[in-house]
Amino acid sequence: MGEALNTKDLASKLSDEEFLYGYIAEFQDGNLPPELEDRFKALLEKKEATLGEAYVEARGHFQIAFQKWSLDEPKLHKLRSLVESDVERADHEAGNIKELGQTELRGNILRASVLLSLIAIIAGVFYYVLGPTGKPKFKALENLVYEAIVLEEDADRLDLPTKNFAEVADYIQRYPKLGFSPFQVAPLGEPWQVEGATVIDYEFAKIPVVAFLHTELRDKLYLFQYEGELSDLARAEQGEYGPLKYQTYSDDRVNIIAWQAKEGVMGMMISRRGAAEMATLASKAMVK
Amino acid sequence: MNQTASQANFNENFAAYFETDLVGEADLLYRLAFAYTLNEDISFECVTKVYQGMVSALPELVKLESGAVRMRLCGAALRAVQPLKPEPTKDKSPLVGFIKTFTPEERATLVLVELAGLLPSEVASLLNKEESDVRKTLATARKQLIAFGK
Repeated sequence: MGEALNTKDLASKLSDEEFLYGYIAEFQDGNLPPELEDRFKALLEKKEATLGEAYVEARGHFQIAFQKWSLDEPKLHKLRSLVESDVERADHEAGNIKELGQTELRGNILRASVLLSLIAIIAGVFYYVLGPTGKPKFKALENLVYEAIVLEEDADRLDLPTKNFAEVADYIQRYPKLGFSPFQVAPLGEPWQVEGATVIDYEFAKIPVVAFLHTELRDKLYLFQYEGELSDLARAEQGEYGPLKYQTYSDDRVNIIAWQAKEGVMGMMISRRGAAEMATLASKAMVK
Repeated sequence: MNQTASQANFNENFAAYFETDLVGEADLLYRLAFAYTLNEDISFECVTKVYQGMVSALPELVKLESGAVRMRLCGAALRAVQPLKPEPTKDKSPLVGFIKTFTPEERATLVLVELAGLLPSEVASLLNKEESDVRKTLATARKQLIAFGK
């Protein structure tokens, strides 16, 4: 066999008839090299127009006719057995089934893990969105100023109206489930008379309050306690009275001082009196 | 001696390749052998011989493209049939009558191109001939095939 010729040189070795029938498959299948197209089409024009279709049809018949010679299953089985016997094949298939089972088991465990993780995540999201919310921040200034004004207008709101300070102190100390350990309140001294006490029950916090009355000026003063930190309040003007360090706030109707009575417990005093005077009173109210 | 797991897997993969991909070409090889020998029994013997020879070549075959594997199988089939001079079939079908008019090599050429889908250049390589000679053979066979099909 000589060296491979290029397409045109190869075709030049063929007579027109050999060229036409030798390349008819490429022409019908759209693979005829471009450099051979002119010669092929020129030759084809001299033949019947249906030559290409006739060839394709004849090729189809030829292929179908040859399907008569097909190997039956016993012969194919004999060929397959050349590479492994039935026993070996059965062993392999059994091994494959076992491996498939193990793979399936691993897959099931993995799927179960993923599913449980997803359920946990979804449950977490639901709990976060729909579950009980955390303890809301108690807006002390806003709420207690309101409470002070309401108490001033309606003294009947005191659950324990009494001028006996011991009863007031006992009431606060013994009040159940306040949620924090209140500091013990001391009398403010003359002219401040205790009027009673109550515990304001918010859903998320209980706020004990002691009411005082200035017996001469008829001013009211309220001493609140609640669970919290001074840093929870907005920064404000700071004052000191002895060891008492406080912050002062004011409303158009009342003045407020707030201080850290002890760790985790705030004191807040609200009245129409000035902040400095309330600081002295707060100092007295804190039992040493 | 027990096989190691990797050996077993190695052999198992080759066996699967043999039983599916290679044996999937068996009908084509059988037709090629029949076109050459015109004898069914001898054709199957040739096919069997081809596949026996392929078992040891499996590590190499699994790396080849399917076209290259088909070439390899057809080449082996031609080598298996070429020395044979069997009794021709008693089949009197028109197709047998038609292909009997060609030489064994011409019939093989026709089958390799029109059934196996090999290129004339590939057939020339298998038959150790010039491509132009294969084209000439094809031209003659196709001309008669068209006439036979009418």
